[in-house]
Amino acid sequence: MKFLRPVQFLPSGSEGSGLMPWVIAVMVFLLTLSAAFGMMLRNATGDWTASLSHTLTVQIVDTDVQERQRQQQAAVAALITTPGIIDATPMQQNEVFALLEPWLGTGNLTDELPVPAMISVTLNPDYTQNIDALRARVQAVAPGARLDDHQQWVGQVVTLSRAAELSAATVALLIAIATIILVIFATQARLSSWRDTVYLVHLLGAEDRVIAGEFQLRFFKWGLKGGLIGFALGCLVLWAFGSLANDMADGLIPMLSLSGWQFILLAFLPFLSALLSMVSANITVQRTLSQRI
Amino acid sequence: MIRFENVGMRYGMGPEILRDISFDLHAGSFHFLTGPSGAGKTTLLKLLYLAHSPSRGLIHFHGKNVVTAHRSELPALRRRIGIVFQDFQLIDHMTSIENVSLPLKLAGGNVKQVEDHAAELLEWVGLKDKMNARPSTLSGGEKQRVAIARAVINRPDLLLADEPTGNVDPQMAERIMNLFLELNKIGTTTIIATHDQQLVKTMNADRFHLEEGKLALLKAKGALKAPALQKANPVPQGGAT
Repeated sequence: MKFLRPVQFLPSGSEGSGLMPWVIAVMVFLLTLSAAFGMMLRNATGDWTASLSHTLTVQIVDTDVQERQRQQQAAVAALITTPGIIDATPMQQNEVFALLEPWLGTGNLTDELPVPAMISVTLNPDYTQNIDALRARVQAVAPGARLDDHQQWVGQVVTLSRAAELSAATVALLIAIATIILVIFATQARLSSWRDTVYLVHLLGAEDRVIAGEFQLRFFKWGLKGGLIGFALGCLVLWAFGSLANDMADGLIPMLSLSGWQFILLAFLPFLSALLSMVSANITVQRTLSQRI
Repeated sequence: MIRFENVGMRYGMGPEILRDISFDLHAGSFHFLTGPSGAGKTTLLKLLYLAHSPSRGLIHFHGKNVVTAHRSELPALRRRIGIVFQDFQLIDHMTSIENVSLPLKLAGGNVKQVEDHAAELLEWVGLKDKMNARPSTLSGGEKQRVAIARAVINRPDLLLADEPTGNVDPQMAERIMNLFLELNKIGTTTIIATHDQQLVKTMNADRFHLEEGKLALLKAKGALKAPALQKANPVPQGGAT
């Protein structure tokens, strides 16, 4: 640590640390959560769009049940023979009812309800499908067919997700800036409280970097201590959130999770906070000394 | 070694404390600095130990114009100056030996050698049993001796002392003055600010006299004398230079 603090002239130990590590802990806690949620959202959006980008849904809308079923079979036959389509599966009525139940309520769905016949289509990801041509091909045999490639929905979700990610990144940036400002104020307060001693060592020939070293090591330690506490609390909250999300109805919300490298990235936050505190303290001391002494 | 050219000093928009101060201080010289209270002795010492920059004029230290020097060049020059402050300015949370060692540590000295030399100096000023005492437990005279040991530990080129014998008994005052003379003999330029006219007369040294911001040099007749009622112990030889 001698390279961080060439000469010790302030009291050692935690004397005078005050609430600084705890303030940094709060900041790193918030930073961990905002960064983690930003990354989780990015992962979830990626998974979701990937799962929807190679599927199509075909709805057959016709009030006549017989005609609806006939068009469904004709559309399936047309789809399955189209290049680039891996699978076209007609959905059973009970499957369609199951999709509608959350909105219409259990027991409210009857055979008289003109529910469209549906076909779930899986596309070959390596094949570029011309949706307009496919739509024309299907509608030639099933005039009541409507193709939905989810692009509008996916586009809106991706836009919303990107906005949320940007918000999370902005929050993380603001927290980092607030931490730097806090460290600057704390450093100036410490410099004021040790003004006489700092002035004396300055007269005894201490270079600015030596005086800054005495402060930077303290702030490095406080930053690391606060960072580790904040990160641990953040992990605890993320774990609790993950457990709650897992317990919720599958499919209603996308799975929020972090990959291994993302967690490693988050684990650097305590060290980043220590480094940020150290550098901020060093620059503050050197600037203050050059202005006041 | 030090040259002041038409130096003037004022604090803010206040009156000029020092006016047109010009002198050459040769290496190895010994001077007293006298003058009534408020004459500007402490201000002149502050200019000498590079705590302030003058309002006007030039100050050269070892040929370097310290007024125009970059602040990064000043610490190295300050380490060549030993200061005994009137109010001691010891660091309260440090022990005597830590206080005395500090200038050598700031100069990058080896910690073990530094502390050995500091112990030797403290023993010489009669504080062997107070090495691990903090300033709050020391008497005024003991603090004075710690401050003097700290000022001389790095064998400064220039030694500045503000009333160094003001808080010690006559016997210790003699020992301290003999220490200063020993350092002066081996080349340390010395300036001692004092009100003690008897001490000035006894030692027969050249004297700078400040009055109303003006400096006059009063040359002594004859040789510099040690106030030797008893023979001083030799100055410890270790430590960094």
